[in-house]
Amino acid sequence: MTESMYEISYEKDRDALIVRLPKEVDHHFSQGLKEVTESYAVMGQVRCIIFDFARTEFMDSTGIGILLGRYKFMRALGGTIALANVSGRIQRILKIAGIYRIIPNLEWDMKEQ
Amino acid sequence: MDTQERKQEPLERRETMRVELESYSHNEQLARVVVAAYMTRLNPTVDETEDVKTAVSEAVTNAIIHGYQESGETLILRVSSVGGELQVEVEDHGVGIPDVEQARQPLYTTSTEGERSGMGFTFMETFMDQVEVRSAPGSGTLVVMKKKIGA
Repeated sequence: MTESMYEISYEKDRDALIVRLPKEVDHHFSQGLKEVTESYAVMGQVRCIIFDFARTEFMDSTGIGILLGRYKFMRALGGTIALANVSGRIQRILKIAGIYRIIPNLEWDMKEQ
Repeated sequence: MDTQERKQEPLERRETMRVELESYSHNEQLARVVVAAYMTRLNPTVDETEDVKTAVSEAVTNAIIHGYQESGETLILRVSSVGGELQVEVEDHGVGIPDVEQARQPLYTTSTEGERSGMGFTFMETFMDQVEVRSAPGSGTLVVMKKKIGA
């Protein structure tokens, strides 16, 4: 288990920002995400933030707050967010929180792009 | 203790663990791991362990960011079980909650920056069988959560 699994990493691909979420998405491991995505969106002309859950095994309601917050922020700029590689446990958390009803067309298949 | 009381004692002894944690955000993960380790003796399913970890994460995060405002003061995590029922208590002596009923409403949050979902208590209630919240402004908050494991 490497320390980097707990870190968020960011990668810009054309007008999308891919946020690779850490192994555990909680209040501690998510600090700084708001500021970094905002600077990318404003400075880097990002239209869509894609949250990649490939490494993520745990998420609490902090993750829901992040997604809703980033969705509102991107909508205000005329953009949106999408989710990729969502596993069973994370999907359950998202369903309970009603995320799929709030944000349309959320699932993103990275292989097709 | 009179005879009447003695009869009501549970046959299995309650095993209790008490952990003190400093209210820093990196201890949210530690709290989850500690409770998951305690649970292994109850032979939980993967889902049960994940449910409890999520609920613990919510209660401990609340204590750290709301109760103590990340000041580093000590919060107490008590874990016990009897007859396959797990009980987790998270106690802080921080600012307390003025209106517990309001705080438990889905989407209610005191956060003004729009990054907190207000789903913390909803998640605790969803993933545990029973959630009790005792709080008083200025004296702190106690969250008691119970879940039957292997039910």
